[in-house]
Amino acid sequence: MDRELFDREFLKKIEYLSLVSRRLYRGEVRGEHTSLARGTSPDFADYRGYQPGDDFRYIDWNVFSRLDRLFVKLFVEEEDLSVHILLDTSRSMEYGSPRKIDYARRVGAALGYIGITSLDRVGVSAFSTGLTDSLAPRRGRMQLFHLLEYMSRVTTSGATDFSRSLEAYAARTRQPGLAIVISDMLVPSDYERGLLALLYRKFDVVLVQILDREEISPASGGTLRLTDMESDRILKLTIDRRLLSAYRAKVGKFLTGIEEFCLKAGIEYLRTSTVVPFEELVLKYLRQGAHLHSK
Amino acid sequence: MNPGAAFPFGLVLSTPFALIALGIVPLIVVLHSLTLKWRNVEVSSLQFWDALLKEKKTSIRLRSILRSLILLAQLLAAALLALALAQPLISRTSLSGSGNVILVLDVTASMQTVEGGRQRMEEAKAKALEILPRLRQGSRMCVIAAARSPRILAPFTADRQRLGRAIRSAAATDESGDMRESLLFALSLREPKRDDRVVLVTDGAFDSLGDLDEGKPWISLIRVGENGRNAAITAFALRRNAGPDEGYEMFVKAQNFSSQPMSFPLEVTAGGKRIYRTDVSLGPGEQQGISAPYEGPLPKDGQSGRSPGAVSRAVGAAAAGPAGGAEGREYDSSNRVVAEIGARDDLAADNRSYAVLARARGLKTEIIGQGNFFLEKALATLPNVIVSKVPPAAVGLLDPSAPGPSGPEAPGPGEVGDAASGGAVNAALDEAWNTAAEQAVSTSAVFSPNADVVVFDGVEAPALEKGNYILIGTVAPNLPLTVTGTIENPPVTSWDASHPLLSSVSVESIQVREALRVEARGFRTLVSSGDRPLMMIYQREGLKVLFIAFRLDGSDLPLRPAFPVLLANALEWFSPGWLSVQAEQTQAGEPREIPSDGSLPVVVKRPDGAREAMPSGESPSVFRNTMKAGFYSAVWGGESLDFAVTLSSPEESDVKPRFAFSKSGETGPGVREISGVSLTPLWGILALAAVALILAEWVLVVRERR
Repeated sequence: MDRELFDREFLKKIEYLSLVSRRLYRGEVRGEHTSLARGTSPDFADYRGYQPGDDFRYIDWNVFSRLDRLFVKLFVEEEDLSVHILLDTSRSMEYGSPRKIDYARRVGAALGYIGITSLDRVGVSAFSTGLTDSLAPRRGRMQLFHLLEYMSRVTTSGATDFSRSLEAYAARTRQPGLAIVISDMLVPSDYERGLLALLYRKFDVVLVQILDREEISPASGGTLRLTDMESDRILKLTIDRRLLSAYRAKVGKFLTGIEEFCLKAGIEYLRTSTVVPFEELVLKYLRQGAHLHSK
Repeated sequence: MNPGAAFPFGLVLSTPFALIALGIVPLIVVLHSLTLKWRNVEVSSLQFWDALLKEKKTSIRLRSILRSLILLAQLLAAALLALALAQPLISRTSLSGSGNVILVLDVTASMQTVEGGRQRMEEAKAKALEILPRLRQGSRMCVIAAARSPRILAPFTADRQRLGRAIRSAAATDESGDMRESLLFALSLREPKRDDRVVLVTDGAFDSLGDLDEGKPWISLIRVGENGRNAAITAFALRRNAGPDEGYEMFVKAQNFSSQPMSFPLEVTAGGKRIYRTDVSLGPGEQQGISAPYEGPLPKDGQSGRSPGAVSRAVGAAAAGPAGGAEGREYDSSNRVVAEIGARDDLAADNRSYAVLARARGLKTEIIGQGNFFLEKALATLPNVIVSKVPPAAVGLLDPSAPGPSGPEAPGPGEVGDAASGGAVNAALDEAWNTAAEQAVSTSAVFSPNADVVVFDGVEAPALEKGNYILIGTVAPNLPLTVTGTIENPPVTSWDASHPLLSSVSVESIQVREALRVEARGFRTLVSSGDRPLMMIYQREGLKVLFIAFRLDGSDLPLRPAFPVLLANALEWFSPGWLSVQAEQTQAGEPREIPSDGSLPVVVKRPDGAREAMPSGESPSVFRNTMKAGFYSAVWGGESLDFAVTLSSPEESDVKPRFAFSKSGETGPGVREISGVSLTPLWGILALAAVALILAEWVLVVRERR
């Protein structure tokens, strides 16, 4: 285990986060989380027109008396939750101070901890050019240790093939659930395909984008020899203020694009900088109910 | 840096050591390369930079260029400042004087001198062409060819191409030069208020320009040529032997103008056949006259250089063409004589001299008087003399022998006879006299002779300036000869037998009834009666007079055998050699008279074979294009004339450049030396340019840093 990364202080923080999450939401082993599927829980979900074969017990007679039409009441089905943490371990995650990968590991560990303490099945998969190492989703205290250990030994390598990795994960997972994708999203090709693949497989998707401040807004220009961390490609540029401004605008447009896409696709989107303490991100996450209130 | 020879502009540095400051230039380059050091930065992704590069390719490239521009501006500014410190001056050479230029191009024979394989004329033209780019803006130039007389090759024009063509078309002639006349002509074209400049391009192979020797500030001399090694024939003549034999001798003078001794053969050919040869050795500056018997063919009797050539020399006259028979006509070359030296020198034009042998042309003699049989007969019997009679009234003269008003103002020999007449006849004669007198030209007017010799036989002579005259029993008003009366029956008491005029003439017993009593100054008495002259001669420049104090019809002189001899001697005195064979020569550049009557066109064949037609209407025709030495043939109608044009000019053959202005005239071997050099300081402009560049560099830097 990475003692520095997951030190006592970190453990205290995630314990605290876990308590906060319990206070916010009562929980049981079964029925603590709602699922997208309509079920038999006492929580009313919606009406739909009666169709032959429907259970007569769920016909709302009050509505029938008023409208003279048959409607069936729908209820939210309760089930236990699988939390899939998908961690970007491409070389670009090495960037930043602190490193984005460290930040991502902490966020992943914290969310996994909360999930485990909520009796959810929590699993972790790393990806870069494709899926690499995985920790299968499981419940229980032991999974917490496995999670932390996994996070401790995660290393970065290779370039990012975001969509391919997510498509592969969506394809192989038999039990969808909550997919928390932690990545810097610095992907050369389209990211939408991977996220949509998860959605198609009935995942609740939460996208956590972690960027270094220098990536969003480079501080200095000049005559630079820029080296791409993933491809080792070199680009020589004389960067002045105008070009920096254009760069910021470009990054802003890119992030806005992700945000808009997520909004349209129903993906919870959280963006943070590594300078923001990870617990703030997690609290924000919890407050938005991304974890407990999804679907 | 000095002004270049070919370019009118140049750059002069006042403090060239200040160029050391240019050492800052490499320093700037080093500093720039240091600031250009690439900073390695590792980034998570280049995707945004790549996208930006695609979108802003042009502006990013411009930024790169901008950096280069910044460096360039810095380097230029540093270089300009260093140059400004060196205090550069722009030197511009141009012909001093702000007005027009009159170019006098020497085309005399000495310009044919070849030195170092190049003719002086070519060098002169090259120098003259150098002037063109140095002409000030708006200045015009005219080109004058200077030889025996000035010729305008190009009038005043600013058209440089036309001037260039005129200069290039100039060619050296065989003429000797009168540079002073050409220079005076050029100066007459000069406008002093306009500050015009006269540029003389010459080899300076002449001694003096007369009163222009001191030079003037507005006259520039560009000299070409160096010393030149030359020997020449400076004289070639044919003359009758002085001895009793009737033979002829030729005279050739050769001269060595170089500073080394020269030896060469001298040959004389007549009709293409060599008739004389000798070897000549001359020390530096020496000359040698060679006389030798002429053993070539002589022209036949009746052949003269003048007109009846159709009878004598023109062969095949029937082949006369539309141009008066000039085409296809062959010429008898037996009378063409060439003297030539085989000297190996720098000027070939003066190594040959030409002559055409001809009998003396017919001597035209005009008798103005009432007519005297003996006088006319005596002149007509002389060979080669053409006699004509002219009544006095035809030339506007009064005949003192004719009846007229008598009086002390106009006494004359005819007064006695007139006085003897009377009555109505006298009145009619008086009227006729008065009419004639009214029509007559005043005797004080200068007489223009139409003949070689004019005889005033008893008629009052007009004022005489030039020509040959025999005054018989009359005087001319402008001569220092005053009639004080008459002498009756003066005996001949003395005579000057040694004078050629009285050679073989006996005047001892001549009877004279009446003679004029005259008082004379400057006359030489040939025959006298006591202290009274009976026959005198008078001679001054261009004027020869034989004065006979008595009328021929009052003497027995016409009846004596001495009379035609006296006349022959007189004609020989007037026109020496008139009966002899002559070597006809015309100096190159001199106009040659062609004795045509002007009714037919004259065609002249030049030495180069080209034919030149002269328009009819001028009598006599004058052929002026005698620039080249050699034999010329003129043909008109059925007649022809050969004549030779020759250089034979010691001054022209002395090809050493020796003239230079003694005082204020500018003399130089090239155009640059006569050009003014104006210096314009440049440091201020350079400093300003450097400051401007620094400002521009600053703007570029600010733009880059934005």
